[in-house]
Formats: sequence, structure tokens, C-alpha cells
Amino acid sequence: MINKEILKNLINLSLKNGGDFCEIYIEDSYSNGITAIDKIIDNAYSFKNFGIGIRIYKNLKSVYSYTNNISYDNLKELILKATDVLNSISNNYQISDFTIHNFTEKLNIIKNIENSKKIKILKDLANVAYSYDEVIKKTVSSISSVNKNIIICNSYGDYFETTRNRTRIDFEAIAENIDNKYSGYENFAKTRGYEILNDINIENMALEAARTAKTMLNADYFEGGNIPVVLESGFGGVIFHEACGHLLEADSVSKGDSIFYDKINKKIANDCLSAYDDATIDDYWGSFDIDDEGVKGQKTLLIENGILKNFLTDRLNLRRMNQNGMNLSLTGNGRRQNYKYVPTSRMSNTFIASGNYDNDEIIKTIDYGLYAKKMGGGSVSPINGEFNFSVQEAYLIKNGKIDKPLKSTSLIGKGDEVLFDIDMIGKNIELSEGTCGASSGSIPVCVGQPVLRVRKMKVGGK
Amino acid sequence: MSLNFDEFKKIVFEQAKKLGFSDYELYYENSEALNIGISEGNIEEFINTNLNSVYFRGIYKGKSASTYSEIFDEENAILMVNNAFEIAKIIENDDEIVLCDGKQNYKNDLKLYNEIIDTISVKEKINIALDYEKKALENEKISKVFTSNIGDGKNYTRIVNSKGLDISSKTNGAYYSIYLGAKDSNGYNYTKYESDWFNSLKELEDKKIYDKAVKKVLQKIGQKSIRSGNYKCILHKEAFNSIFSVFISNLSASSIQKGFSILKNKINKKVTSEIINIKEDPHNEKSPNASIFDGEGYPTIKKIIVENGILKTYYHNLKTAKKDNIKSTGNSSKLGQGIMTFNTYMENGHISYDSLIKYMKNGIIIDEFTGLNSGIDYLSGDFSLSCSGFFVENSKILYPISQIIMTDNVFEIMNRIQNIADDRKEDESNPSVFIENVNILGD
Repeated sequence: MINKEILKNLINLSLKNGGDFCEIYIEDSYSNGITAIDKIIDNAYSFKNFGIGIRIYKNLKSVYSYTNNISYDNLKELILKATDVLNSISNNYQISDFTIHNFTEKLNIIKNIENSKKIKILKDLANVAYSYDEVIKKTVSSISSVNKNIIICNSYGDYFETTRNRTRIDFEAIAENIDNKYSGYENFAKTRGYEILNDINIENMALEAARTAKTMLNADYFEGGNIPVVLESGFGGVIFHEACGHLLEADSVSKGDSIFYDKINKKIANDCLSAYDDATIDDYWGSFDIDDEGVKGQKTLLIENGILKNFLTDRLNLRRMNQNGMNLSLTGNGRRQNYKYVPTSRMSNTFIASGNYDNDEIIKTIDYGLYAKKMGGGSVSPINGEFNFSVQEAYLIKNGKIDKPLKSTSLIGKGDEVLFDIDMIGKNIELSEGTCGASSGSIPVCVGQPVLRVRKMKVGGK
Repeated sequence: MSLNFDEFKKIVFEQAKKLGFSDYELYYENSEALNIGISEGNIEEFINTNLNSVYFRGIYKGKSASTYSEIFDEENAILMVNNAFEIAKIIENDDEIVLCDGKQNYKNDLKLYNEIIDTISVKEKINIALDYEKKALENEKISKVFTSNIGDGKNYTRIVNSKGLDISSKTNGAYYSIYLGAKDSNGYNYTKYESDWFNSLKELEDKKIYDKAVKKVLQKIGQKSIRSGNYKCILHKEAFNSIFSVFISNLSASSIQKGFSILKNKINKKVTSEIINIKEDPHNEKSPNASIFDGEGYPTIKKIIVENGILKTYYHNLKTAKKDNIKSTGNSSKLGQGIMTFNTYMENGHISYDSLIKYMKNGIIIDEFTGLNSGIDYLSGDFSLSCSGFFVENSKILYPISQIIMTDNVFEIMNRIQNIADDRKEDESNPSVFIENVNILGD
């Protein structure tokens, strides 16, 4: 993409102009997708993205420039404009040669397939959903894929190359009556190429989305209340992702902005709760070999039997934390959407470890509560831990049994409180794919957990 | 080798002609931006960028295909046309595509580029962000400024097509934002984010954005929940904005025609409470969304969307307009891919915000919703959102409230608005509104 001599010169120019660390990130990616509305191919796209991001630190000051004009003069001008604000004297250190770390070797990745195969899957999904019930009046199915070639080099003399392939299928079924429309949604996504299409169960995916849509169309509103909540495995883990995961990212911890910043080796959750962030699970949606700062992906124990053990770090925030005497290491969580974003600490595949209960056992303990079968998204304020979630598909629990479906419910609470209120955890863990949005953009992640019980939560309804 | 846009265009158009595209066009964009973020007296963020990008749209046997590139060389010029050719062959959507020929009347005297912004130096910007952080912290109750941000950007857009259209515009804008926190006596943190556009340093100084953030966060100290129940409610303009924008997005003719909006077949029918008037004015230079032409080069126009509660038009691009056999309303997003609005707003009512509180007498004010990224179902309009605001008794604000949930429906709320304040400013999209009865889950 850009030759190594030029990259070296740019890094040395940054050091000479006062930086004490410089990192260059180059991305060349090709993405494409096809969308069908009902059984008609409605839209398709093909995007070629290319750009370079140059990050320079001086102590805790960080300046970042990005562009897709890679002429030497333009890159030099961006560096000079950025280093000008560092107000720093020249750094005598210069790099001479790069040590190459190549991660591009990937086996059996299929980067593209004939459009006819993709179209067949999209139409099959629509056909199955339409055959489920006549209330299904619309479907949207799409297949998309991205192939990204990345180079990261820095003033430590490291030069990393890697390739990332991600492919996903999304399906939405919409159920409709005279007054209203409700949708059900399913997806399947892996850090792989088009070979994942062999693993997808089209029938299950389409029927599940159609079933949710029909169920919600006929569901009642819920009056709301402060009640016990059972969260289904898999995407139920979005609660942990928002209510705890974000608060363990160095981005908020290093500045003292997270409610957990001073809680290492202290109890922050119920004894039954242990949790991990793991970027190394083969092919999972949030997995990677190296993060966007060139640090190897890792499995990090975050909480062990309720005790906080570690944070998720990136280079700059780790520097800040260690200057404050925290003595932590890089966990390989420096991530970004693309070259237009500065990387910061983000989750990969984050999950609550399995516990001791059967799912039925957990439901049976509740006289009156909510079973959140499918969660929507949510958000959190790391400053005070207040979080909120929408529930896509919910049911009333009555006398230890799952009762009628409920629509338009949401859950709110505070991160530090809910972790103590999780008091029963099931045996079978599942992970689900999602997209997490924060300051360094939208990135692929997995959330996960077994079925679990929260003894009390505020559930909205009307 | 990197090509300039005209060289790139020549290769693209030649290849498109060669492959048999009947019509084709390019949407070129060049942008520059700088954002500076200050925290604790230091430059925490300095992001500096210049970017070029281009979209291609080609019509082949009546089917439209689009591609995108950030590389301006010969190889990618050919590739983006070839890829579009492959896409056009699989598209089954039969909607007729029309490209704009540029022969319409354009409001060319619109001033969308403000040279004053270019005269503000990097040093001045840094000093302003530092100064505003310091000023915010002068109030001893403010515990921290998480970030004091100043930024500006300029954008050059050019659309060229085989119908003879060659149109361009240059716009710019500058903004300031601050995110800060205050602690109560128990150490609990309250936060507030405030941002606004500015056209000159004088205007920035007058807007006192940092001061607004300080005042707003201090008002939150001591927030508590309230009893669950039904309340009279003022949706402050900042909170109502989220509901209003979901309503507007359901008026996209593209959503209507594809069957994704429940506002289908509502032209000349009642869609909101009758006191509501909604208009679009793309030619108001004070709006950051002002524009001479839309994403396919068609002129933007002033228009009435809702008059006394009656829907007058959907938002159209050339494709959706052709399907409904009417003229485009100038609301196309880039190269006809979808619909976008250009300064749509709801008209002010006739009483002040303070009078609206008196009109309500007892009830709640909601000034912030959280969880908007997933809490509103765009299809049904149902929402269940965590919110905060104030408890009002005998026309007086008694205390701040939070950790409550409002569950309702966007389309129903638009029909239940009983009174409207006159607090919308020229560059804002809506005023505050009063609703007789909302359901709140609290304690």
C-alpha cells in the first residue's frame, strides 16, 4: 500500500517534531452486500475504502490525523500541523528498521461467491417466513461481507500486517394487522468469509424471526413494576456488556470516570458471577488476532466470584493508568471501526461464565416476574452506571411458569447494583453477535451468558 | 497514481458508456475537518482530516446500481463501474430511475460558506476550549469537565451526470460542545452534554454554551424517582426532538412505498393533533441543514409538510416521485439511495415555555430521554424509555426526577399534543409541547 521507507520517514518525522510515540494505521478494505425486500432483490452495494491514520503521543497528549490522500506532502503537512500543538521539543530517538509481524495467513477463507448463491439464500429466507403465517406481510433479508487488509506500524519499530474477513446475514420479518406493525429479527455473523453460508440454518432463522414478529403483534402491554427478571442466554448478555463491560474499559477507568475505577480486587458483583473478555475464540464475531494497535488478542478474566480482577486496556489509557500507579498490562483491546477513528479500549467477546442451575429451576423460583427472551439494545453512562435496555420479546412469569407475551417493555437500573442482584446463573452459556457503538466507532462484538436471574429490576410498561 | 476528479470522471464515464449504461453519474465529496478536545487543561484530542470520496450510479436496462470508492486511480475508476455493472444485472426492483438534468431553477444566491470560520486560528480554538473548561469549573459544584470540544469542517460537493448536470456547492460549519459533571453531597455523579453551532466568535461567546451546561447539570442534583402513575407532561423541546424525528422519518416516500411506514395513504388526512404545523425550509442560511440541491442534484424547495394536523406531502426523491406521478420534493440522499430532510421544523405555538408550565399547573417536565439508540421501535412507534426531568406542583418546579420510564407511542403522542410553547429557535427543529396524560413507571 505505502512502502516501508516512507512509513519509517513519517514516523521519524513525528518523533523529530516532538512525539514520544507514533503509530500509523493503513486500511484497504472492500465490502459488498445484497438486500432483498420480500422476494425481490432491491439493492446491492460495493464499497472500496482506503485511508491512513497517524497517531502521535507526547506523554498523555494525543494527536490524530487521517486522510486518503497519501501523497508524501499531504502526510507531512498533517504531521506538522498535529505536532505543532504538542508544544514539545525534538525527540532524539529515531527508528532504523521494522520488525515484521505477519498475520495475513488465513486458511480456507472464501472472499466472494457467485451472486446467484447469495440471492437463493435471501429468497429462501423470505419464502420460509411467508409460509409461517399470513400475518407476515414483509421481509427484509441481507448478506454482507467485508475484507479488510490492515498495516499497523509504530515507533517501537514494529510492523504488523493482518487480514480480516467478516460476513453476516440479517433477516427481519414484519407482522402486520390493520393498526400496527411489529418485527422479529435474527442474524448470523462470523469473522470468516462466505464459507459461513454453509453453516446457516435458513429455516430456523426465518421461522424464528417470523415467530417473534407474530408473537409481538398479538402481545399485551405490561403495566410495569419492580420485579424479578430472567434474562435468556446469549444476547441477554447485553446487560452485562452495558452495565459492567463499558465501565471496565480503560477509556473511562483511566480518567477516574468509571464507578469501578478504584475497585480492583474488590467485590463488585454477587459471588456467583465470573466474567471474561475473550478475543481468541475461533471465528467469533468479536474475535481478532491482533487489535487495532498491533497487540495480540487475549482472554482476560474480568470478574472472579464477584471480585474485580482486571480492566480492558489500550496503549494511551494504559499509559495514563500506570502513571497513576496502577501497574497494569496491555490486554489487546485497542479497537476502532476504521481509519477515521482513534482506537480506544473496547470489548471483544464478553460474557458471564456458566453457573450451577438448570433453566427450569430458575423460572420456577419466580411467582411474578418478567422473562426477557430477546433483548434489544441499550446504553449506559459510565459516570454513574445508569443503564437502560429495550426488550424485543418478553413474557410474564406467573407462578413459576412462562405466561403471556408482553410488548414494549424496557429495563433500567444502575450497573453497580444489578451485578449484586444477579443471584442465579444457568449452566449453558451462549454467545450472540452484536454491534457496539462508542467513541472509536461501531465495532463487531459478542455478548454472552447463560440464562440468569436478576432478583429485582425496574421494568417499564403501560 | 492518484488522479484529480476530472481525470477520474473521464475514465469512469468512458467505461460506463462502453459497458452500455444508459445513464450514469458521480457524486464527489472533498472534506476537511478539525476537532480539538480539552480535558483537565490538556489537549486530550486533536483530530485533523482531509478526505476524498466518490459515489457512482449507473442505469443499465432500467436498473440502478451504486458503488463507492476512496481511491482515485485508474484501476478503481474502472472497478467501480464494473462492480456496478455486476450489481445492475441482479437488481429486480422495477422502479423507474430518472436522473436530474439540472435544468430546474436553483436558489443560487444562498450563502452556505462562512469565511469568518476560516479566520479562526488553531491556537484561538485551543484557547477557547481551555477557557470554557476553566469557566465551567469556576462553579465549585462542577466536579469535572469530561471534554470541552471545538471543531469545524468544510465540505465541497460536486454531482456530474450523463444528462448534463454539473453542479457543486461548498459549505462549512463550526461547533462547540461540552460534557461535564457535578457531584451531590453523597458523591453521586450527574452529567450533562451541551452542543451548538456558531458562525463567529462573537456568536459563540454570546451563546455561552458552557454556562447552559453548568446550569442544566446543577438543576439535576438531588434527582429522585416518582410514584408510578399517569401524569400531565411537558416534553421539553430537547426530549420531544427524539419523538418528532421518528415521526418525520416515517414520512419518507421510500419507506411508505416499500411498506415500512404506518403513515401510508395519509395524504390530506389527519396525522397529528390539529394545532401542529410542520414545514421544511432548506433555504434558511442559519440552519446547518440548509442546501441548494439534494443528493441527486435536484433543487431543494420550501414546503408545508403538515398543516393544522393534515398531512400535505411525503418527502420524495426523483424515483419515489415518479412512482407517485408527482414532482420530486428535493429530498434525495446521495445519488437517490434514499430520503433525507433539509431543515424540517415544527412551528412554534403561542405561549412562552414558562406559561406552558403554568398551563400544566401540576405534572412533570421530561427534558431528557436515554436509550434512544434502541428504545424506539421505528415501525410501530412504540417506545419504552428511561427519562429524567422535573416534578411540577402549583406551576412551580419542585425537584428533579430520574430513573423513571415513559412507555408510549410516537404516533399517538403526535395526536395527543394539546399545547405548544414558542421556544423553538430558528436553527432548531421543534418547540416544547404539552400532553394531558402520560404513563410513568417509577417507584
